[in-house]
Amino acid sequence: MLTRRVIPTIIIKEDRVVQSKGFKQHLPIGIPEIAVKYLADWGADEILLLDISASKLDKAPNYSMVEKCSINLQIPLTVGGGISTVTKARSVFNAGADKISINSSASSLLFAEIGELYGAQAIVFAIDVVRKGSKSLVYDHRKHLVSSQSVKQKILEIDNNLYGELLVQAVDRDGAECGFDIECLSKIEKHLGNPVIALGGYGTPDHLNELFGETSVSAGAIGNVMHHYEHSLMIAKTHLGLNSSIRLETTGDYDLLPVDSLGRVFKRSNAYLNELFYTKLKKDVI
Amino acid sequence: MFIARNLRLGLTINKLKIVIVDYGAGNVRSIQNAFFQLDLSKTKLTGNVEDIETADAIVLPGVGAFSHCVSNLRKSGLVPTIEDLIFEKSVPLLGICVGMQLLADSSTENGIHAGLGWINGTVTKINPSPGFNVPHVGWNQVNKLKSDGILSNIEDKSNVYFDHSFAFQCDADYVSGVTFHGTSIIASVEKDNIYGVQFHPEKSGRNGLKILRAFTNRVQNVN
Repeated sequence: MLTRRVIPTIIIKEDRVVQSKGFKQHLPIGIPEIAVKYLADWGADEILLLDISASKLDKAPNYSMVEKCSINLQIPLTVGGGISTVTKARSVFNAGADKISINSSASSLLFAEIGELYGAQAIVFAIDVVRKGSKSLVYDHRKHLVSSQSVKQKILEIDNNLYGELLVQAVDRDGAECGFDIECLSKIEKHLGNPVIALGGYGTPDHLNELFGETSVSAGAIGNVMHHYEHSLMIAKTHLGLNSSIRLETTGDYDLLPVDSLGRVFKRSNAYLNELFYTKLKKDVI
Repeated sequence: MFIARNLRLGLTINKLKIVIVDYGAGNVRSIQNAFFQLDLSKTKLTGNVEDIETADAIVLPGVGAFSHCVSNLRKSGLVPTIEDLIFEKSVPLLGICVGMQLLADSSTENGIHAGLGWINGTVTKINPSPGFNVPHVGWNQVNKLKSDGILSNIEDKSNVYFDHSFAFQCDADYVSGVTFHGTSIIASVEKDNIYGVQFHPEKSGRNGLKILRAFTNRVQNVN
């Protein structure tokens, strides 16, 4: 059984990791390669690196940053932002990306050209979505404008054999921590044969439970919250449990951790800490 | 860094020369990085005939369309050199993802294309079914069908990372591991000294490294 993926999304603005709220407010966090390394160690199934300033400033992707992030990474890396030509795509792949995410420059022609070289499975088609009542409309992040085009129209523009996965980012839920847009996502995943990645709205592990319980999306992407505390992904995944068919590989014991409503770990009682002892684990020789 | 240090402590320095065949098939640097993590510092990514001739083991990567990979590989002129090594000198070979599919007789991706025919089989598209999207992308469990060979170092039902739309079909004798995605999908094949994995061991965390280690251990057994 294919496991549902939990994908930490690292938002990059001008070469720094940021937390993003509503696509407008950006709080600096730190250096991309350090964030990548920690999140990989904390149980990420895959890493999504999105440069939100590249397309807007008409800049090429930062290849050396991608290289630094990928060099010691043993899980897949998807890179997005500023990939507007086959040449740029090639440079991003050469820098170590396994997949690329294309939003502003998405077109059948570009996807076909890249797919010829790297395969359609290496292309992630990204769409930014804004809810207007019951309608889901496409958002242009370069112009900060909601277009009149519906998400459905946008998806139908490109043959779904030309790309692998569809990344749906809810703009109005960015940093809002109010849960994923289940209604919009389930409409999309029911009509599309490709795997769907949901981004925008994650606040607590329950939101992932809801996402995986009520839709068949392939992956839930988490942005801001995972920078809040150590081992964030492992704690979130433990909270989901194996029932939701996720990949949980750890020698750590996260099971009975008391967490608050945001999924953050409380300090244990002094009595518990006094009783604590070390367990010797069998060495995992490779 | 933490992982790399742990590996180094547990193992003696390994001087095997692993050659990853570079014939212009997408991103293959991550495979080289994975062998470096195993402390196989002589691993080389190259399309140079002299380098390939002196290899202790060969890795055949592959990313992208089958037709594109097979025509690039044929154009590189390296096929006779590799055939000589694997069939005459029993040098182990590992095909990864499309590199595994290239081992087959043919593929139906974008028309019918001939493969290398080193393991009799064909490559066909996975049919999507409700709840099972194509491409088959993500972490899936491998059911081990053989206790020795390339999967010997991992537990049964270990998670590894897949990303493909086409799958290998061949005689059950060659199959060492399968996974399930709407239908049974061959995850790994082996025939004598020729191995193939449909998933990406270089992107499958510690499980992936253990699989690559099983492959290089096989090299030592041969020599």
